Amino acid sequence: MSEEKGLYWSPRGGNNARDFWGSCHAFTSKQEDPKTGKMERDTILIDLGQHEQTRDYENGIYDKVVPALADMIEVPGYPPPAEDKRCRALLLSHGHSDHIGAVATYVQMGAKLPPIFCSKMTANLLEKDFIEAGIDESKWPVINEINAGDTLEFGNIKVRTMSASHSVPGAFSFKVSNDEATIFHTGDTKGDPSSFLHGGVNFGDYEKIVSEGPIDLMTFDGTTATVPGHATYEADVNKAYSDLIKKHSDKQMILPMAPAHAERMAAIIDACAKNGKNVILQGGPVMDATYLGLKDSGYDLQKYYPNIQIVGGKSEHAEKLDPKTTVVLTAGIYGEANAPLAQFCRGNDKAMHIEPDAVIITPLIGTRSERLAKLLAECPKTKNLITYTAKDVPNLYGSGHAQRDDFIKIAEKLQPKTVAPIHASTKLANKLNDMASELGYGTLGRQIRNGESVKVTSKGCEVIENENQNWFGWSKATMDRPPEMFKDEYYTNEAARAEIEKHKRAYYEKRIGKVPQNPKKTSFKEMLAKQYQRGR
Amino acid sequence: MTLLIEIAQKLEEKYPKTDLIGVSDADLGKMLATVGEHANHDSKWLNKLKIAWTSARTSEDDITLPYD
Ligand SMILES: [Zn+2]
Repeated sequence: MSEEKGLYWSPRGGNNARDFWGSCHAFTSKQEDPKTGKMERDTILIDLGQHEQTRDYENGIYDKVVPALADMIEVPGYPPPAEDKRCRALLLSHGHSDHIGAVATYVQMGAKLPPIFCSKMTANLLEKDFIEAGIDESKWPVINEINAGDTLEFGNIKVRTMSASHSVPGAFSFKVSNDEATIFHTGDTKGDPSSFLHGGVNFGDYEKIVSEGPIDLMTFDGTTATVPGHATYEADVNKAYSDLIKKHSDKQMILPMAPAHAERMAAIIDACAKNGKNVILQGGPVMDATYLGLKDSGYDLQKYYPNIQIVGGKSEHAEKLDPKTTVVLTAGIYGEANAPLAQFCRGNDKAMHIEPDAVIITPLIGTRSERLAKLLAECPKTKNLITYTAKDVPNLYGSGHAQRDDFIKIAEKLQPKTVAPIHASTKLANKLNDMASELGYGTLGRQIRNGESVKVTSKGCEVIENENQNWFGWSKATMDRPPEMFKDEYYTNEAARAEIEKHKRAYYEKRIGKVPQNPKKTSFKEMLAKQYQRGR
Repeated sequence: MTLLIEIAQKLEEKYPKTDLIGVSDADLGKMLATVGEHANHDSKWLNKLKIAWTSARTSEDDITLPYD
């Protein structure tokens, strides 16, 4: 990094070659103390996510692949970072594992994490990770709860928290600034002011921050940013469900959904309450945890809707309800084999109860819906049921990521001088860069890869390349050893990939003795048993 | 200190049909006593215990969840 003053942005995960997992972004302020003229340096991080496809790296030998940050966080087995390079704070945009999943891993590595700042909902999801990882409460890092509209200061860095609209409440965008420049970091968001639980994007707030000074760089969610139209808003999803539930109010309804989709769960339960339908959560542990996490974060849905009962599936409470008065929210939206719905379709009547005249609503279309569609069509008990998909009612489907019109809406309000994609593979980043420049916004011309940095000042942006494109690989089985650091060389060097894999494989065979071909997922019970064996 | 997840594991073995969504703090307290946890716990802790319990309940859907 050059020693000139500015505000530096460096993606450390999420701006990958092939995908967008493992979000992590460093912001470094370098400015002079006006009195002494001394250069001061402050660094913060936004998000510490995990890569969701560990099999793509190092022959899948690791349980976790996470951004390697030993240059700013003290990690056992690595030289401690220089005092002025230490990260002062870790801010979390929202509670999905590709943004927070590495936090528990860093705790398990024995790293000295800086104080964490996030919403109550994100904190709850983070604590769920700690609980599941079996981390003793005394070792949990300090978590400070923040709200939209808060202003935080970390040395010379000022952060303003902004409400974002994603598929989980408590999601933030951040305005990051110092005396030299201002960056607006969207996190994962769409331009939806109707987000069900917490109000969504507050465009009035956007106007307010712009009146305080120009946005020199906007790092923008590139996941679906060039898809035409705008992402379906939560209010529209709510109406689509409500209309269908009303139409079939005398029948049991089966609604597969992604259990972690907290925003959607709330929108659907609201639609049920409007029509006096009781709710059975048949989604297993993740759905229960999402519901309980919402409750503990102040979104107590049973309290919001006292006219209906919300109960867990397969419980004594569920058994007492007349099925025709119920809507069953169930896992298995992608036709996952273990989910109760798939099991029922394959002939296991005990997996869940479906009435002979039930109505099914599945919100997906295209390839992602095929597996479930096939299961439902081939099962004698479901093939003749009235079934709605997003093909029939498009507003049933709504993602949490911005599309083209969302980009236009957000960029028009913020008027950034330059736009840079985040949460985007090289391909997605190129597409967003093209679209942004067509729309008249400045871009950096290419994807900024993990480990590179951009110096931002009021005069413009300058890309500074460096070699720091590293991941940590970490496994439960070797949790007493420091994490392995490896380079991500997949960006540019197609031919090198096979060579890298071969070399790494030989290295591990020598070092560990064997390389698992298809590493088996360790169940929680097995993991606990292993920890006991080690005398934990 | 006993880990939340270990207590949850014991509860799941003893009460596999409990409605984690609807269980009251009072009922949860009673169940806790039967597995040898007698201390008084506040509602926040009990909620964390419920979340630990969902994790201990590995039965039906070990599924990957792509985020949208
Ligand atoms: Zn994400």
